[in-house]
Amino acid sequence: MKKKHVLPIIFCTFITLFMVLTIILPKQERSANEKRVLAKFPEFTWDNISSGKYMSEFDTYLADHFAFREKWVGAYSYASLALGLNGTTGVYACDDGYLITTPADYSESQIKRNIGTLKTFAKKNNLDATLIIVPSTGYIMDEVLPKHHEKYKDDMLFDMAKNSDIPLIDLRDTFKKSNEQLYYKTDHHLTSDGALLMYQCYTDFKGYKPNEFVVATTIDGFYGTSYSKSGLWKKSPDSIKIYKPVKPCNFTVTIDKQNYDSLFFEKQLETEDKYQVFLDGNHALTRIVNNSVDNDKRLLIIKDSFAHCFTTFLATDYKEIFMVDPRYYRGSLKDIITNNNLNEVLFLYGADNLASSTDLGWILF
Amino acid sequence: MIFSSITFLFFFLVATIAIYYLLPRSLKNGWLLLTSLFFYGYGEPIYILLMVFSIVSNYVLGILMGKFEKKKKMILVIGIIFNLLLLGYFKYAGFLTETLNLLFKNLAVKTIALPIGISFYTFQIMSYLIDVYRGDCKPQRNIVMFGTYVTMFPQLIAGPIVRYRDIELQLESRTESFEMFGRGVELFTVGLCKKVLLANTFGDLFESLTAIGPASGVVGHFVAIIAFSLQIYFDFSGYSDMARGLGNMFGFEFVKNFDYPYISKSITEFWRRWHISLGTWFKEYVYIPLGGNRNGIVKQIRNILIVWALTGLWHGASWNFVLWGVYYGILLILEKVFLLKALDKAPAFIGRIYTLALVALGWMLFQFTDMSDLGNFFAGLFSFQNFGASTDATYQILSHLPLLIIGFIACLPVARNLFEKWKDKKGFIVLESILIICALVLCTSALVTSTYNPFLYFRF
Repeated sequence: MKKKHVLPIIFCTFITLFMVLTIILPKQERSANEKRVLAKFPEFTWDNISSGKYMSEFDTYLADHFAFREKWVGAYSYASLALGLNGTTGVYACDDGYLITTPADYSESQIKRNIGTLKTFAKKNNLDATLIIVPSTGYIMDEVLPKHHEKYKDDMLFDMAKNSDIPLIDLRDTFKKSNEQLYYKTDHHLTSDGALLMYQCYTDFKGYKPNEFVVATTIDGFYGTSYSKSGLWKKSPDSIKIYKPVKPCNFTVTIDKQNYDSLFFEKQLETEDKYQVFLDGNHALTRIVNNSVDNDKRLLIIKDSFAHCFTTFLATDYKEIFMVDPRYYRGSLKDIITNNNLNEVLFLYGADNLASSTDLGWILF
Repeated sequence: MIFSSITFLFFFLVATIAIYYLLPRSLKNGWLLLTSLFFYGYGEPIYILLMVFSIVSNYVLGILMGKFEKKKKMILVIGIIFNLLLLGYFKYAGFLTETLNLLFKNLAVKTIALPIGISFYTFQIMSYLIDVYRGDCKPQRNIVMFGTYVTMFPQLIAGPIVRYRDIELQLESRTESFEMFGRGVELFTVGLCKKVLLANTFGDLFESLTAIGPASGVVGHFVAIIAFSLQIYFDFSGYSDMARGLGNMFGFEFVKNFDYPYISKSITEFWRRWHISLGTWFKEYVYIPLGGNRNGIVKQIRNILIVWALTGLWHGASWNFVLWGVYYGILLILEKVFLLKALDKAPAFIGRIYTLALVALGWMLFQFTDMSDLGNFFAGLFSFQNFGASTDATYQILSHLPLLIIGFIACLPVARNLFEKWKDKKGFIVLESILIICALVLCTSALVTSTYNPFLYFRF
């Protein structure tokens, strides 16, 4: 090979190689990291072509099935990080292997609207309300964050929540003082230890003695959503602890008219999001009946996914819990409240979700 | 289709190059025409008809000019009006009705999808008609060759604006070679890096800083201007580099469009180094025919203002572009009258700072189509009681600092000079190959990553 041949050969080999590989390598249907179905090959019709739809779908198809797609994403993520760009993916790479979501973008007026909605809801339905806001990981884990980072606005949210006269369980100090690992390193959720601490704060606040729990199993190899966003594929996974009450309880969980006898859904451990082991992940309505307690405590929880692990602790205290996720629930909450004689509601949200949610309005219908 | 896409790089280009080199000489131009039409129609298929219509009518006009020597002036005028009407309709109709509405109201504002590259290829076609009229070249009898000139995909959508007479010979006979292809690879890769790795990132920085608004302080506004100046340079010159590189791969040599504009010591020099092919076009086909500098200073000033108002308008259908053009017209007149002499005497760094400052301010006129946004931006830039950047702005600035430094260096001819010095040394090809491979890998990873979008809550 002569000198003049080198660059043309490198270039042509490079572009041809990845074209061929993209064509011949087996195609995936889903992207586990993106938690979405990958694009299908576009349909060849005259309308699709003349409108340009075929071409834009073809672009998406190629991009979705490009050879070694996730490896490229990883390469770019590490290269960006090496150049000092930490956080452009929406996740900061932090000390100790933490991948922490960058501050969510929300305004005072959004907070005002959402907290106002909660207040109106409690008042309208005559419910005894409690609010738990889970501080964002970045706010609590300040010491592992990169030296320069955007500002977490949790204090603004907590201050506004405090002034709203819904009784608020303020977790900030307890969480900051704790020495346990309260948050996952690769996911934005609380670990089971974090949720257990939150449960103890709740029982303190309500003035009763918390139940005791022990670790029943530990599940390794959990990669959460921050990991997926970051593209930093070499980071180590988390493990998920499953706590069970020392005094065994017998539950009936109802989701979409199906009954289950456990709060833990082991089949979810085989899926792309192991966090769904707690109460089977996001559902519009989940009903939990505790067959082992004699009291008549009934609770409505309006929540996002931060409630899932927490409720596996709280369910040991209540006869019946209705867990509603306003992102998906489109029915009338009034019926649930009156039909079941509910007089207590717990609002449980991660700080970012509570501040920026646009679905909360549905609970008023 | 755009160059910085997976579809272009890994499918369109592979097929186009492979078949181009398999075909006999007589079919090569036809293949380029075909692939260029495909390239053009990929985004807006319907505009292929517009393109074909444009090619056929201007081809006929050229032939007619050759046939009816005596009527050629009339034919030229018809041709120019025809092309300007097409450009006017597709690019400026919305702008015109909006402006007229300020006076008369109630005209429906028409929004038409801008046919990609129409500003560039209309100017190329007009250069052809004028050159034929002037006798600088013969009418092209072969419609395939004419069509290839108009549509050639490397320069179709963002220039350089190739004059017909500069490329006439290459269309008819050219020799591709490994050396030329190799240079094409160098240019294309450099351009791709400029666009994908630098321009896009500086664009993000500019967006984040302007989104933070007044809180980003004087410092943040200052960095935002720098970020935009870098973004637009790397974006546009990157595209020109890719165009020239692709041209080389098919045996064409296009004119250089950018020549390190940010090292200029005056605005006059800046416009000799920035978008050279557009400046040449306006000089050749507007400024000189208007009389240039031959009829006294008053007429010259008039001519400069006309050319620069048009240059501004060419960049976009909005008044801020006219303002931006006139801004440069005035600066150039001032330099012509006295400033250039003064700058020549002053130390070089003064000229450089003066030029950079004015160019950077000019970019803000260019960027903000909304006058109140522009006003807010300048208010932020000069409100010295709010000097320091907020936490969020500081984060943005510091995390982009390494890339900003790389950007500064890439604006200077440093790498070019090193390359010239080393290129014949033994073993340089090894280093160069490694760099090219790394660059291609990085750019591909950036392209793929831009399509990676984690969908975090399913059923959302």
